[in-house]
Amino acid sequence: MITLMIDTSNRPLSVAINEDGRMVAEINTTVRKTHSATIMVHINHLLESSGYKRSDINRIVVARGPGSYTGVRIGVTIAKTLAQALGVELYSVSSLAVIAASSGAKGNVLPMFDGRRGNVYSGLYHVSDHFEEMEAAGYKSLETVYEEMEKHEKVCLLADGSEAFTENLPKYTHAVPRITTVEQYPEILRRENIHEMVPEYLKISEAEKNWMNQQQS
Amino acid sequence: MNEDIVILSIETSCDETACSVIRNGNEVLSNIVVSQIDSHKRFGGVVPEVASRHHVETITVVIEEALEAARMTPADLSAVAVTEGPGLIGALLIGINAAKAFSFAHDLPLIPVHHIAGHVYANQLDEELHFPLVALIVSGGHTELIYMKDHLSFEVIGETRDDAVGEAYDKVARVIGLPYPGGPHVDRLSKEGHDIYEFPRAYLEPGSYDFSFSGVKSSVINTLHNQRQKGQEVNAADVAKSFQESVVEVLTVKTLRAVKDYGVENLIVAGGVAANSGLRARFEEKCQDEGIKLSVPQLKYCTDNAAMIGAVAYHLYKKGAFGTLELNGRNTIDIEEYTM
Ligand SMILES: Nc1ncnc2c1ncn2[C@@H]1O[C@H](COP(=O)(O)OP(=O)(O)OP(=O)(O)O)[C@@H](O)[C@H]1O
Ligand SMILES: [Mg+2]
Repeated sequence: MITLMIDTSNRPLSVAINEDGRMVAEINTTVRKTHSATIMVHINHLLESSGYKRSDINRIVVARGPGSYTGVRIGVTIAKTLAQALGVELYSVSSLAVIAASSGAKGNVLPMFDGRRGNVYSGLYHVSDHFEEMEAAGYKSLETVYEEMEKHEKVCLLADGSEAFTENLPKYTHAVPRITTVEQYPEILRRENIHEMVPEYLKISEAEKNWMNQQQS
Repeated sequence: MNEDIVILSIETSCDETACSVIRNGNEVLSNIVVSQIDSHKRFGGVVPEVASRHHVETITVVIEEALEAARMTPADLSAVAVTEGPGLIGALLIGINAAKAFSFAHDLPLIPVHHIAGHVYANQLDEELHFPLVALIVSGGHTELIYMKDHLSFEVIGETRDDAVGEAYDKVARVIGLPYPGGPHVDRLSKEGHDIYEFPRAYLEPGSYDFSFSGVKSSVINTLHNQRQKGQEVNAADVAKSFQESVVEVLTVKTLRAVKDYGVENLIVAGGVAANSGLRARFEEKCQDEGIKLSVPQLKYCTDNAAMIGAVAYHLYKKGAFGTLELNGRNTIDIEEYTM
């Protein structure tokens, strides 16, 4: 089975082709360039260099968020459209779980992305030969994250060291996505309905939040 | 025998998720438009992040529906077209990335299209365009006078220096207390009123084809404010009529002067505000008097749709003007860049 895998949810970009769960080709970048301009070029390059045709793809796996709203939408839009056009199955994986799997760390791991204004997107997982969610993914204040850390033993913080918020973090492990790794943990892959799939923002838009507050008062 | 050119086109520049299949630039086989207006009404205007979220929810649905309604399969298509800009960047990116993925999966050429060119070519869906022509584009984000000596030849001869007409309509509607989007409500209300206020008409310096609507807008706001402060009752219909008169007069006078100065016989009026009854009536009357051929698209092709994008793409296809997998959205693009 040939799987095309896509993660554009933050500044790093990760695309891969796996065959029966094993990596055939991957491209991982961390440059300040818009994913919208590069992602399809990378996908094309992956196929060409691995010798597969578009029609060889059997399924698509996409990182569904959280992360940069625009970034997540680019990956999800491409994954949905490709899955529909090629007539293949679509799966999603949490962008936080991608980091956890990519880091190679075992035990309790806490991947996090910058959520601005002292907040982060994070979750807590126990990784062994399988994946277990200990604290659900969410948009949280750093205090909440530290409280969650206290509840579990020997937690390894995972963050992208190029992000500004890491300056204020205690010791963390630098980790960026390598989406090829997630097929090692089938339990974190979620089957999606192509038309109904939406990104996992973990946060409503500011406009909707304000509107809901207004409705209540 | 010429082979048919069948294009699937996608438009997501603002708050409509749209997809169409069109044959030979004028035969609309399907035209799917999913409007987000009910969602944005909550906020009194289009919220970009909310628009982007809706686009990604609907994009594959409109593509599938457009193909089904046209009774076409991807194998029948010649190319995929998409709005490159101008528009809301996050919204554009959904259509663009979907178009790139679709064209890649089916190995079809990709055609980037300028949104305003789409509004002009909406007329081609009803009848062939005759050149040279002058086009007045009046929409939520644009007010432009364009001179075209032939297909895909765009020269901007005038544009707004501040608010777009549709934007001014929506702001005036808001101070009158009408729901969003206010343009059609102001239009309707104006039929019951009289031009008693004589709001200013901004003609700018002599010879200029540019527009300015912030003056008349402020004037409406100030007048209402003063009257309300004095406790006087405001007749909303008179305000609407007076505002509309000012706008219609400036638009028609300037446009017809451009038509005369450029020596053309064909005038196109397009974009969402082309739905305005006062504007249509005045143009019809004046054009009849002066022997000018006036074209205004059907209502459903005035507002944002993908068929109009496919109409332009037909000509771009014939010129081989294809985009690459690197195609990115742009929130502003000078339409003159699209001149071939
Ligand atoms: N009858 C009418 N009279 C006046 N204004 C109208 C009428 N009908 C629609 N409008 C206005 O047209 C605008 C919407 O037009 P359209 O959908 O073409 O704009 P847009 O796509 O938002 O902007 P753009 O095309 O510049 O990106 C709104 O401002 C609306 O109020
Ligand atoms: Mg428009």
